[in-house]
Amino acid sequence: MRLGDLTSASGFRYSLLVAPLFVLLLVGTAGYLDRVTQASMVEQLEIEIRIQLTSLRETFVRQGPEALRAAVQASALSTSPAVQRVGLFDAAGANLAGNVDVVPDIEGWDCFPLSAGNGLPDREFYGTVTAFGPTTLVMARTMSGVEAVHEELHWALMIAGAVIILTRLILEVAVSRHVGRKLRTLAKTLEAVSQGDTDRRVPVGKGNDQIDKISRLINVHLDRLSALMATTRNTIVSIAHDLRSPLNRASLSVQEAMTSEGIAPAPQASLEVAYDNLTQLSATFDTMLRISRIQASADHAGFEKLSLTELAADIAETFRPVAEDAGQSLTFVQDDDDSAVIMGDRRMLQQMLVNLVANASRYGPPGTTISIKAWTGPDDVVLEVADNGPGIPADQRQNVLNPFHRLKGGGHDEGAGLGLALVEAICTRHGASLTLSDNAPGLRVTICFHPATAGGA
Amino acid sequence: MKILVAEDDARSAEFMRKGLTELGHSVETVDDGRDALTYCLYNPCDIVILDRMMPGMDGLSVLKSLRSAGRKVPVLFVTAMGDVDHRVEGLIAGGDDYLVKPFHFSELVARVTALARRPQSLEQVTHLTVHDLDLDLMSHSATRDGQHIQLQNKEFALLEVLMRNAGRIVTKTMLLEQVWDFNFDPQTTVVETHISRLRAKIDKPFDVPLIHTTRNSGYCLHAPR
Repeated sequence: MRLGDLTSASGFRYSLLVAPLFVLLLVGTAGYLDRVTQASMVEQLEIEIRIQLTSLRETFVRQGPEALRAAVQASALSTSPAVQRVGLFDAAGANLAGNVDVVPDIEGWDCFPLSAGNGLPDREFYGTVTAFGPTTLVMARTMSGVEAVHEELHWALMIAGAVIILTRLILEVAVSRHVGRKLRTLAKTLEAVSQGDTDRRVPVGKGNDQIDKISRLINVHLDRLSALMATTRNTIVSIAHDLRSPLNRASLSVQEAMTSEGIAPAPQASLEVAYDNLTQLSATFDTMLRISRIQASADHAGFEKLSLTELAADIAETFRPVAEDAGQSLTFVQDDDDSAVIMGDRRMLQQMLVNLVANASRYGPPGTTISIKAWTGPDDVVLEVADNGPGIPADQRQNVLNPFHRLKGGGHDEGAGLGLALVEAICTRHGASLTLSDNAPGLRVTICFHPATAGGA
Repeated sequence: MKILVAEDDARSAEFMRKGLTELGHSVETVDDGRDALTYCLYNPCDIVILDRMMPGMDGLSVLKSLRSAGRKVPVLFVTAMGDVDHRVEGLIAGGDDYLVKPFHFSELVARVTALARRPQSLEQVTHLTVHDLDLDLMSHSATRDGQHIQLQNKEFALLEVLMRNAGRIVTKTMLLEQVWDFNFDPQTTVVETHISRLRAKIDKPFDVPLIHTTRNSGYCLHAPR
């Protein structure tokens, strides 16, 4: 799965937006945890100090200041100075007992630094200053335990946070890939169907997640599409028979009348007009059926590898004399190294090219130049028919592709305006793009096919 | 010629019968596929004109049965089912030609005539000669009255078709199919233009024209009568 696919997956994008929030939450929780732990531990320290203070107060009250001094000294000696410090000072601030040098300048309970002795840096202690009669008592316990826990918690939370974020990322990538894979299968199936494999269906997984639900729906629609196309094809065959029969009978009747003995010129002339019109009607109907049939079927069954260059050369050779007789010129410049190979239906493409060339000749005055080109581009194969005739105005270029549309001032009434509709149907069937543009002057028709090696059949 | 017309539309069948009889052929008509098969199996027949959609047994099945029974009688399909797939299907099954309704009667006549005289086996012909015109199919060259004539690809192919059908009318549609492999009407003067170019090369410089136009029918290449 390419990085581009990954980052464009909607789930991933969403989670990228949410990530800062998540991190914030994580940090907040960590901070709160830290604070709570610290407070709890400090409270513990306080309790331990209070217990001893209570005992000392009792000593002071019952036995007097001298006993207090002795108790303080005993306490200082009995506990490691790294763990607890206690000190008694007189009203002037001179040390009477204990292992505290000077009364710290604090209010109530607080942290303050005390020297560790032997030139070592000060350490933080937590304690209080209490008055015992005229004397002042300082008692504090070390913060090193709290600090250590704080450190460890800090690290633990950071690692946990990193692990959580990483796990999330990995899970998201995994889910994205899984979902992405399913969606890609979906897309591939739909593309295959549009290329003509109308029997393909989307695979539905066993889990009943949203994609499976959608897949099932899509399959239902594809079934309907196949059924519709089959119905259309059958309808076309029925229409062919039902409409052609009366057409045929009319045609035969008129032929019979035209060739009957002793017919006068006037009815003969009328009959000929009727006959021509019937023939024209038949041709129009024929083309319409052809277009419908091309549109009703999407499979590439009759497709083979063919060279557009060869096809174009052939058509050019055929039409050059026709163009010359009309005072026009037809050119096809052949590049023998480029055969412009595509997968296609030879007959359809032949008819398409003939339509385009015939159009150019029919709508162009004497002196018109018509050119055919075929070449292989970087990612497509292009066929182009261009002329310097009257062209098609920009606002009409979409309309002319509609069946039966006639250009204003087209003049000639050969054909019923189906030529370009047929060209478009054939292009669509080949998955090729059709563009009409201004050849300045004239019309340029550009058709881009998939190359033979990729896609197609 | 003895011709069987298998067509379920009475009007069309009658029209064909009348027209072909007037031309001197002996015509039998049936309107059911099974009758068509039976007739062919037990009666001599030079050509069968077969509609594809018939009651009893459809044209394609009739043809397949005929062919598997070893009958090589030429069969011309006449049908409303005119798209390429159906045409190819009909020809692959053993049909010899395919005509789509509605058609000009002259078209029918031209094709029937062409089919009836077609050699049953594909001879390898290397030369075609009509009067003083000689076509060498191996070297792709044309000579008339000893003079070499330079022909382009399509002109040569056109001349070849006309000469292979010498004496018979070849319609425009037949030429479009056989020379250009077009199963559609290009709506332009492709055939007329090429015929005129061909005439300019092989008729004009010489005394006797060989290529004749029959109005509303087609072209015919033949020696002076």
